[in-house]
Amino acid sequence: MATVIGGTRYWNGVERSYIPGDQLYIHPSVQLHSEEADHVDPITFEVIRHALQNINLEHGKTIEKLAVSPITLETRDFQTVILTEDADFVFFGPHLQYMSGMMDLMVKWTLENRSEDPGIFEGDMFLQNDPWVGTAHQPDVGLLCPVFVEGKIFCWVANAMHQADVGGTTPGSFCPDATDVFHDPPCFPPIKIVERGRVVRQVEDLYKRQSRLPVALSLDLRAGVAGNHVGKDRILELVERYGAAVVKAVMRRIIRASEVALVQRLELIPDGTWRERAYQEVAVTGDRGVYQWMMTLTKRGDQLIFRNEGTDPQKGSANLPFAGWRGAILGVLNVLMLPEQMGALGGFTAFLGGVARHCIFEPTPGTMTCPDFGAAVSPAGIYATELAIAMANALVAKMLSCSEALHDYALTTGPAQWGSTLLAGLDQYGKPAIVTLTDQMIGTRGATPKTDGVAGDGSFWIPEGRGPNVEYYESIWPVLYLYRREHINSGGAGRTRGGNGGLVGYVPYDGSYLAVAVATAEGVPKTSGIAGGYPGSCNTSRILHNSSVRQTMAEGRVPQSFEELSGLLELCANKGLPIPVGLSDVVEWNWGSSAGFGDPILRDPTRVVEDVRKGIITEPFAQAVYGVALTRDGELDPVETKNRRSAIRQERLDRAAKPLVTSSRFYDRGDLRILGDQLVLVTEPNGDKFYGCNQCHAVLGPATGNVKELLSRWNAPIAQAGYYYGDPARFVDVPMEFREFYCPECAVLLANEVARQGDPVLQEFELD
Amino acid sequence: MSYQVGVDIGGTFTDCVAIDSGGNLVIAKAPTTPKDFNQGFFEGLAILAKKLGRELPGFVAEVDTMVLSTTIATNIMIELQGAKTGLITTRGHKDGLLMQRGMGRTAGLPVEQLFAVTTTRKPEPLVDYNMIVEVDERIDYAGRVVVPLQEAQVEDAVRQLVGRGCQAIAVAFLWSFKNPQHELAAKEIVQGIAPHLFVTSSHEVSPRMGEYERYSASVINAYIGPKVSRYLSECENKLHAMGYKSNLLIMQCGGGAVSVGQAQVVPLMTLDSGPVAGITASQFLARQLNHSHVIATDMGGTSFDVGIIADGKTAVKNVNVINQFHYTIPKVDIESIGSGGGSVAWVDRASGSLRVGPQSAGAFPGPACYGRGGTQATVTDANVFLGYIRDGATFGESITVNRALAAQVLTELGHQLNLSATEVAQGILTISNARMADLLHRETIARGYDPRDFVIFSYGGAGPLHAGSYARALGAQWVVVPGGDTASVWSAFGAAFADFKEITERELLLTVPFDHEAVNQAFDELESKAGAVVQKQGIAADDLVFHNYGKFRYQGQTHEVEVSLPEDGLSSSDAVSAWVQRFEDSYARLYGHGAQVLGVGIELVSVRSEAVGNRNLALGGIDGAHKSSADARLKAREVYWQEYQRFVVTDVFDGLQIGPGVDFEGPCIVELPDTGIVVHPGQSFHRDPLGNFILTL
Repeated sequence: MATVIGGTRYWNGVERSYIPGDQLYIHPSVQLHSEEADHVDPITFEVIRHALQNINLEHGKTIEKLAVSPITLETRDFQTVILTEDADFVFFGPHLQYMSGMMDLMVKWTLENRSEDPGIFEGDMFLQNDPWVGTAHQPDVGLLCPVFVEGKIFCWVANAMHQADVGGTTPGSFCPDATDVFHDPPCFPPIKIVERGRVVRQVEDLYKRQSRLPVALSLDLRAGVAGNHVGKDRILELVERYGAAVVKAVMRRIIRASEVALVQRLELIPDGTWRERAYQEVAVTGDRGVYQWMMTLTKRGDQLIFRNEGTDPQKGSANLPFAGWRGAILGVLNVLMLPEQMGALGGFTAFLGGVARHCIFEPTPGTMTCPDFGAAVSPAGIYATELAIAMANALVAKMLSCSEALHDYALTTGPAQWGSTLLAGLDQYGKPAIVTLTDQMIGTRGATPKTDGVAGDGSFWIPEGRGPNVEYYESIWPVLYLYRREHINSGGAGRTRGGNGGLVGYVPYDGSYLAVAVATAEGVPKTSGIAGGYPGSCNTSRILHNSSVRQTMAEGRVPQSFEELSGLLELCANKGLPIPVGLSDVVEWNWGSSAGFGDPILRDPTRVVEDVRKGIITEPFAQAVYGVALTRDGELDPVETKNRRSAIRQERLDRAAKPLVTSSRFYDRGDLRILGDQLVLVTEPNGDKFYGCNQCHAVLGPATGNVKELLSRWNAPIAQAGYYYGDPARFVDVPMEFREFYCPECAVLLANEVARQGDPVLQEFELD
Repeated sequence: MSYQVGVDIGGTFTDCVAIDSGGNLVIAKAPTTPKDFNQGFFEGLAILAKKLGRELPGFVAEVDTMVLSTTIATNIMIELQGAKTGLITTRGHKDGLLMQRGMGRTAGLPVEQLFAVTTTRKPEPLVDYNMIVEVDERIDYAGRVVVPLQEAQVEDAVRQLVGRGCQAIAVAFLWSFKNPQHELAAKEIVQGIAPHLFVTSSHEVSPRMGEYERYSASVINAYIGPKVSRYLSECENKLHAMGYKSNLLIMQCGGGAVSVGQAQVVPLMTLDSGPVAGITASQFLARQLNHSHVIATDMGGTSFDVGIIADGKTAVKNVNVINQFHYTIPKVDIESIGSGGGSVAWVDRASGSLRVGPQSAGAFPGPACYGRGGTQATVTDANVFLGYIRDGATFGESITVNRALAAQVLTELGHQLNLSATEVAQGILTISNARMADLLHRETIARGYDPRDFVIFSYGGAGPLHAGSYARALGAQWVVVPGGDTASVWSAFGAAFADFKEITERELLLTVPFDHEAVNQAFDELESKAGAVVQKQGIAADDLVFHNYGKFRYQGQTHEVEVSLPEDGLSSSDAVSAWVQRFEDSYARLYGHGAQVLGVGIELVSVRSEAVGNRNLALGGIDGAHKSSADARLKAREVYWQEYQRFVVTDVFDGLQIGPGVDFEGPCIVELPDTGIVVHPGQSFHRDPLGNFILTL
């Protein structure tokens, strides 16, 4: 690993992100309870396993009941965990999955840095939100609780909750204008906030004092304390009943089982390297730059190695702390690779004595996905974390789609940014309000090679998540929703298509001194399509100032689009300044869709017709993108569809640059491996390998380099990426393009990518 | 002679119970007839009549009150055979129902499926996309009209929907529970244009905040409405034709019974009324036995259902799930896990451990020992192999238990784990008992109770086989297995004894301190509405009681804690303080004293009134005080006891032949029709004068 400079202490959680070594350095005054029984029968194992799993779920239920932050409640933007005495994962809850990257790190850091001073004792809990110790951004606050048996730490229970406001320049604590961490909300490295069973008032006061919503912080802190108590008490009951050594042996075996399951799954995947590249525009308010993010996954034997090499240096507020980057990856792996382990993800991360870890992170420090101390990171929860999740999602989908056994489990990419507008001011009751609309929780699901994506199907990385009711938001916040609906035509097109996103329009209502503090808007596609499928949609926020909405409503109409109204249109900038809004303004924003899989013109035309019937796409879209024509009665027109699809293929070849190869055909020649959808790797009996198109059986060329170089390529404008994409020049100065790669023979779309003009073609995979 | 009759139309059998004025009980069972539920219903009544030596019409004419719980609504939902339903809703919000707040994929699923993103799906909607029509109208959070209802659009919508073959219409607008004016007007328009259609509005089904769950409730109500309504009318008409003079009463999921007319307005209230009737029966029996804290457990073929009765009252849950659809309706809280006799045992390869459920072998092929082709070991196979269920025992008419088949699958499973068939069988029971004990523990602790203070009631085909184990794990002292043969018709028994009940509720959202008069007025209105419904059943004013509750929360929370109104009501602001204190005490009891936060406002979110018409029924004792244990003794057999780690020749008794008063020491097995009680070493049991089997742990 190229970036280990000066040993483990280099990654100390102070100047740089914390990455623990294989051994923790714990002061001898803190003893770990590590004894485990040699043998636990499979029945006792199951009884205790089930109990531990339930304890962790009960911990979560307690938080759901007591927390007050609407984000925590509605989005399940929290997590609960049981960790071993040395902080390896036993169980992780079905809540926000990217928090997997931080929970163990926080506890390990605390063991290494708080065991001597102030010491760790029975009844203590530590609060922490320092991104360099381990959190995705400052609002994700951890509360860590050691569980003692016989005076030694037996295990840990912990939770992390997204807090509505922990300070910083911007209400809600996503601070897009923060140029460094000192504009961000304050970072608290692990600090003892509960001492021997009692909340330490002065620490609580210090914590609350930084917030615009101090009472909410207090209530949520107590929810966290109560949750940890539930977890701790129930574990101690188990220890009392079965003995500490037996419970510990079960914990270790849960980790081993997770490892065994992972290894079995990895055996089904060929060795190789997969790459994902994305471009994040606008690093901070006023910036017009474009920044490259790289994520590389190397699968070798029973190991997965993740790197971020090639990612641009840290910049502005668009960074993602290492814990968030790691969590984005682990969360995706947990759900997409080991769903049957139900949150027992220790197999990925635990150092199982003597054997190397199965999931290894080798970040390059000082980059946007592993920034050193000093970088602003607070808006990560809207931009950077989701981008990393989407990149990990795309990587895993690409990898699985190269596995014969796991091909059909490849799930296409979900939204790479968190769409929302955040409104601040006084609410209808005259109190300060921070309106964080989390409608994106309603979500969208990606496609698999056999199934279409689904609108309104949650976010896979928050399995238990839920979107808000309009009435709930209107009862607590000064807004009135004009519409909230499936965003037609937004799902990434493909042989199987991505689920649509959603569209929200509201008027500020009954409040005062209101401003849109944060609005999401982007111009560069980041939700990558898989195997030729098109990307998911982007976020757009716009405001119609001084509109005729009130008059229209008084006349008996609820307006459904800006086009029905008069007013002054403002398109929101990415990470722009707060925009004051009045009661006759209308705000519209959307949440992104999921990406498609495979070439849309290969989609079963009857399914396209069904999509039109169900309002998922419009008829013109069906015709333009899928090449499907409908009759006047809305039925499939098979003749015209055939013509249209042929025309699309011809158009593609006409406008594309052709590579200098002469192709021949392959039929029944050697062993065939599908790479994605229509691209295949053929191994001839003599061991020679070449790439082919499974549609027309054209031999594309030898399997030595980047297959995309063997394909016909069209450098299209970004607008080609999807229905709602326009010219990214509204956001950035660097010219961007959308590249489509076709089979030079039959013009099937085999891949596409977004790139800065002049950037090399990305080699998405290299099989060993 | 006059009779009280309870009928429960379940998935397989229609159970009937008649109680005469002396408290004597007669039961009957007939196969359920899903094509025409009335056929099974009247067949059951005919069997009852025959047992009483009467002709059906003569018997029916002597029935004082008949209460029916029925699975018809559940059947319609499971088979998706409801009406072609249309929805008229607020412009801009038609997708809300279909989006399901993004919860559809995971709604009601066990944790085993939560993470399985690529293999679990959102349910198919009950309303097609083109059957949802938006109209212009809008009411705000305070109940003010922002956009008046465009009635012409409603007329168009109805015509469109009728043109598309609509059979039932739900009208569901935002904020209708605050101001129902638009929904009422729209409903009237629908009735004017299409008087033949079943029409319902969201505020009358569920006057609670949260549009998705309310809309969903109204849509399910419309979807099941026409069939349920028609069925209930036919049933009642036929009874009247036979000379039955009272109203037919319908069991509802909130507990208690209502008239057919009332049930036809909100047929959704009949959904899952069977299991609720089982809780009602437990509540009735608990009263008779003077137990205030009871955990009612029902273990059948596929699931283990639990209802908590604390201080004599059942808990009510507002948000419920059916077929992965959430909906709001006050319903007796019954928690369920996939743990039943048919739960399949399997080996988790990664951990090399034994797992049980949540998959079930179902009714067909069922457990391996049924000999109907089942190849997977189930909980029932373990019970048979260990001797808790007799080899050769028969269930229903077609199933004869074969121990050799159970042995075969258990041996095969054992090979995978390096365990003997006996060890595997015992392991299956240990795991399934622990899972059930975990649920009971959670359900009591989560409500702030100590599980050791509860008596366990156990019924259902598999329950009494396991109750001795899971009750012991919980630290309970007694298990009650309902006596005589009522246990096999427990829900019908519950229906027969159900009180009249009407639940009314209203959203208030008041900040403490609030004006006590305003709340009193709300309660007055709720009481008079609910009381009128109950009194229509001929209940005397003396027998009508109201239970009033309020839901409180700390400002900002969405989770509410319900507390009962102090007995002397809200006469002053001091009384308000006392009521709020009850909330704070409950909150501290539930979440610990550290969880309370001083200085945070408290809100009264909603109020609920239950009008209960007490029917003053009582149960007579069983005959047979003269019987001795010798009369009941059956052939002893080998039974495995974990306490001894071996098979031991064990006494077996015929439960129905046991008289009251005699004490039996475990280990022994008590056989009952369709189930059996396992009395472990160290436990004892006796039969009480009412015929119940009381297991002392």
